[in-house]
Amino acid sequence: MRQKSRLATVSLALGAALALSAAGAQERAHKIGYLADLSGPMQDNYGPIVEGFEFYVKDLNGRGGINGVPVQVAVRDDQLDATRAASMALELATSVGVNSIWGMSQTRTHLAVYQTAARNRTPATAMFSGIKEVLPPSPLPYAYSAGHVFEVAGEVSGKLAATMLNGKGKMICNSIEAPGGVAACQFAEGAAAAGGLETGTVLFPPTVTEFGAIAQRMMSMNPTIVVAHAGSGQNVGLIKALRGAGFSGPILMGSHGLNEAPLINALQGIGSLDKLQIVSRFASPDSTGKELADIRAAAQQYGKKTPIATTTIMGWALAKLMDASLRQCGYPCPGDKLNSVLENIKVDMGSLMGGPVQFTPKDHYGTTWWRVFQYDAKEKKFLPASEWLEASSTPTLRKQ
Amino acid sequence: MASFILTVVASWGIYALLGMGIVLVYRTSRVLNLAGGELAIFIGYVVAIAIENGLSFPIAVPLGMGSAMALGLAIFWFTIRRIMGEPPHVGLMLTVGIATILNGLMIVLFGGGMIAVPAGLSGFTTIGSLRLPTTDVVAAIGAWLSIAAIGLVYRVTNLGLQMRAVAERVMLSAQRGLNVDRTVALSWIIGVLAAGLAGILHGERAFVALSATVIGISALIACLIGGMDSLKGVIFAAFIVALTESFTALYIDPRYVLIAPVMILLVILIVRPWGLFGTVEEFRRV
Repeated sequence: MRQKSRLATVSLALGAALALSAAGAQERAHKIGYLADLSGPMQDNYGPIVEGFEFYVKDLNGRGGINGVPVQVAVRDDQLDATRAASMALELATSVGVNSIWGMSQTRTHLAVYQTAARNRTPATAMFSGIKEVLPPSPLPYAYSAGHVFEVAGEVSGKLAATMLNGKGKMICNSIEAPGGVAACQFAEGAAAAGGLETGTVLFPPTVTEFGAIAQRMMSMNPTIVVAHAGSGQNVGLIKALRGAGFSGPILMGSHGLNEAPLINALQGIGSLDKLQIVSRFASPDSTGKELADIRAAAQQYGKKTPIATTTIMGWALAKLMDASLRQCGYPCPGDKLNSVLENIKVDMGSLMGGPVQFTPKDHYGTTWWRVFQYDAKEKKFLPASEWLEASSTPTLRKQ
Repeated sequence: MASFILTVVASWGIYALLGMGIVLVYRTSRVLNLAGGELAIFIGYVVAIAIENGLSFPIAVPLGMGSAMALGLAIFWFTIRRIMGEPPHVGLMLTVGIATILNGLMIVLFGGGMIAVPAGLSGFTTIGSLRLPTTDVVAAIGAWLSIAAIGLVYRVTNLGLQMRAVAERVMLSAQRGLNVDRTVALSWIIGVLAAGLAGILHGERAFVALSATVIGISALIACLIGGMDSLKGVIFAAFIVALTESFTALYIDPRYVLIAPVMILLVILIVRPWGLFGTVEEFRRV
């Protein structure tokens, strides 16, 4: 009887040990957080980014994860609300126990998330457009950006405009009356003026959806080229109105979360589309290269019904950065250790971008490469139209 | 100058159409509809999504109009009917609730993104020596034809007569055997139809988006300037709003485009609280 009782005790202990070890094995994963507006007003922009990110993670886990450790992504929807974003960042960093936060929504949510993440020693990396105030040269600890930063995008667009016009003509920058938009146009004007162009800026409130009179105002300024740093839909309204007002010159759009297919569909029949260009630090979905082929294959494998967009590529590129940083960090990889890795990382992005994503302790954005993509009316695609242009993370040509 | 005039005429038509919808329901049900912009853009989305899914513009528009009329009837049947005779703030808050629900539905059903409503026409229309953007031409003609049609229904038909009777003497109308519920329902159907048409035309001209619900604010400003119970007032005031917005964007600074009409409204509310053409109403608690 006593022997039976001992046997039962040993069996129970063994069972418990096995269960615990199984549970341990199940929990052996890199837990990361992903934060974005998935059901709010900009879900169209952020949906494809998180989709691209998840495609990469599925692909990665399908290949056995990172050195045998799978990646678990806890996705949260901030609905473009800074307070909600901060509370979700807190929940991810504490209750869920993630070692990092990726993605993030529009600039207005960034500071709240960065600060919350930093207080909890969890690195946060934005993919969507940001502004320099929260990045180098005095970066917040634990805060990174791998996307478009408006000041840099602005300066690059101004330089490109000057190059395209050989330093002769007038560039009008158009954007929303918001910190990112204002900064983009200040740097665009500064760079274009340095390149010999006359310049001007027309800003409008973020809620404007009808651009008739605004386009006429821009026309009264006699532009040779228009540089637009607005949202995807606002670009549709602006381009329609500009063409309607008789402007047939080039329009260079900053690709701040652009979905090409809806833009192309919305603009059919407007005219002069051959003079439509995008400036971006990411490849266009119709570019070529191994990584782009991988994205298309993954999109097909995981049942994506709509064409991939630049935003899909942005998500995939961010996940590639995440993969490389966790790989270097090893397992386990707490937030502090991952932050040390990110502060000294350099990841080759292949055909996704013009150069590597590289952070240093003093520069959480790094040097970037930008390219012009020209609309091909026959193919109905945006195709590469320039070499990659290198840009410093600290633009200097701000118009005073 | 021709482009500027066309811009003003198109905006004027869209605001007047949407404002007519707000005035019509206010006249019969005494509910100040704050959900005008949301109703407009909701129907704009219906048409945009229908076109995205392969329907042509001429088929998608009647579908949107049918949806608008059904939505107007549903709003009356499930909400307005139940609060008739309640204090004015009840109806007002009800429309705030409707606006909130519609905002949520636009996100859930349509994604809440920015979508154009392409009419599928060429970029420019040539009239004599003028080369005008077709989108604005379509918006202007569509809006003013809709205004004329609704105006005719209101002025010439028996249904219009009943709506005017209820608007002016609801008790007397009921005593004379007029079905007040049915008449108010009709005004909501026409009101939401007007809003829906305005949303479709705005989407055709620019695009539909959650932020585009701001056209409801412009229309509401026109209603308040013109007088909440005056159709001719709202049409006149819509011109003031459209002209102010376009003039500000073109000659002053586009950043003030949404503020300028509000400044005019504030002056009107101080000087003539019932609007330029509105009736001075005496509210009594019974």
